[in-house]
Amino acid sequence: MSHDSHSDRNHFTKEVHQAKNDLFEIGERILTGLLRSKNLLEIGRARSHRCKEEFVFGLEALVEHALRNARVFGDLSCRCIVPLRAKDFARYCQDLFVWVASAATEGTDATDSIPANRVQVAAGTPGVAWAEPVVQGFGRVTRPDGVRELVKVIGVQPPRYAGLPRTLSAGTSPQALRASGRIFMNANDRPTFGAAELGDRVEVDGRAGIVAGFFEGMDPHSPYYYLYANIDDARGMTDFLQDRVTYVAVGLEQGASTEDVKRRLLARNPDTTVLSRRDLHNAEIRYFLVRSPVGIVFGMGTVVAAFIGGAIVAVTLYSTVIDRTRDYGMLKAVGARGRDLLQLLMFQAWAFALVGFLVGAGAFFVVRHGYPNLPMRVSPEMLGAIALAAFLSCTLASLAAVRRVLTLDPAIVFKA
Amino acid sequence: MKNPALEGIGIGKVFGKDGLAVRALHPTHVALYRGQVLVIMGPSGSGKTTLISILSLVLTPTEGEVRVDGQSLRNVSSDGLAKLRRDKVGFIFQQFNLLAGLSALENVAIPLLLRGTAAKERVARAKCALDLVSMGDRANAKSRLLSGGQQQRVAIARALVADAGVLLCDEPTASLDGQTGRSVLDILQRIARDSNRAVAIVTHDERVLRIADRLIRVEDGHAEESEVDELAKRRSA
Repeated sequence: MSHDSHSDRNHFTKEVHQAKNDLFEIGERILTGLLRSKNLLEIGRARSHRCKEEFVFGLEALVEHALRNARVFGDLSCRCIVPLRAKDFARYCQDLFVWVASAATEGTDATDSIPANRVQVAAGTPGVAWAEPVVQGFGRVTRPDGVRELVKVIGVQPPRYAGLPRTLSAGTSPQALRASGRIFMNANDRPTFGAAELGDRVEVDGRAGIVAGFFEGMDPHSPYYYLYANIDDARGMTDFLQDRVTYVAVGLEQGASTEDVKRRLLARNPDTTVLSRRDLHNAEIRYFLVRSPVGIVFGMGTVVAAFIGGAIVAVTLYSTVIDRTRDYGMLKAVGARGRDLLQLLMFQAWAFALVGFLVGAGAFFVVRHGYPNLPMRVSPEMLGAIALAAFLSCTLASLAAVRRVLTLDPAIVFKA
Repeated sequence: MKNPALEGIGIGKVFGKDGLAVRALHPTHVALYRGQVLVIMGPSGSGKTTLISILSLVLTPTEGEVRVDGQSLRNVSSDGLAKLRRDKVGFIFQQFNLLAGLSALENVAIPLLLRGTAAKERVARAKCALDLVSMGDRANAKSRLLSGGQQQRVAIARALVADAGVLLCDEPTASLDGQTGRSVLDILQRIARDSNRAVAIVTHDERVLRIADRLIRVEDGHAEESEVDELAKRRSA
């Protein structure tokens, strides 16, 4: 990857970061407007002019922000979703690569090494533009307070440094790894290493590494640190065998089909597995969800939380219906049809869902804004899925209340 | 005599089945005419509530049929019955049954809301109905803050707002003091006479006879219309 390309990317990353910060600020402003009002209706009724003004100001700012950052998000869409610009498209295609790894690979934490000559085999495969080795191994890093902890050292090779994170911090150039004994550190880990700065010394199993740069946007759940080094230093720090590599990163020729190249690579390296970037991504998620406690812990946590949340909504709605049996009876007596009452209950259930979602999402963004180092990420798709789940669970939770109301005998209104 | 606004022809009700069956109302004929106040009296457990529940279309009789403006309700669906209640019948309950969190105006507008009437028209008509019961000045007061008499007036306004031809009142004076009760009865009599509506009042309260045009006595599930002479005698008593 060229230096210009990285510089462009860093600049672009900064713009996106700034745009996101602006968005959080606006979100907070809107939330403040909402929280300061006694209830949502007051905004609509404009009883609280100050709240309304803050709310409207927030919305205006949101629109202004959207317009101001349209180019940034547009650019993001161009790169990630609709690669309209030919230059970007070409660069995007050049960046596409697949990984050749051990057949035993389940994820980046569960893999084995393969012979180093696979790099040459891959490089000679039709449709392949380049192939570079990547090694990964573990060592013990000594923190400034003397504590030794596990570290995963990933070794990459010039000229492309395939395997490096795509979001290097401002001022960090991959070229810095050309020199021997240089390492890149996760920017999130800097506080742990005594507010590490460029030029600081870090020891991995007795071998010194000089911090030559930082990377961002990588928030691993693993209980160890990540360091990047050039491939020779990484081998030295982790006692990795010279004739083995962990992965072969393969760049595709322009216009080459990923699936075709994968097939050819597999044919030439039958004792390996060939993974596209998406395959590796999916394998990693699958590994964490199925093979590590993360999936069970978070999965069970989520299921239990959803169950408890649903139960709370169900009990609240049902007890509200019980408390207001006469009111519902009166409504039925004066002519409310089943669908009218259903609408009324659904409105309440969805109000629960909306409030729950807004509080949950608001808390998430506030915490993330307050503690930017926490590894908290959410995609728009995930937010949408959570909102949908909240609405579905509240709908399900309202079923008992709905049944109670629909089967209610309106004649109860004539009983004293 | 004109056609009845609401009529129960041979209506009777048995709750339960087989050995557990309990007869609450023997087959009886009840007709409600516009411009008249019909009073239904009887002791507790006599079948009054069953009768008014059937007449108000919330309970289906096991015998006979109910007709509204001459239309039989034998094969009408539950949604159809709800629509008829909404459009043809106004209710006044002993416990007022106002929604505590809503204002008097919002309570009165409920039947119109269920009809899908536009907001502007809803407010205008609800205000008119409140004016009819002299509650226009308390339109924006929360119903829970109103006195019993005021709540009953709001309930009457709610029954009137949809222009229903029939008003069914269940013990409308039972929760009110003497003076307030009298004023509520005056309003009901005025509604029957001036608005040409059929008003039926189920009550224990002998004072209601003051405004009655007809009287039906219910005892042990048997409903029987009393002679006008008897009514006059009881009135004078």
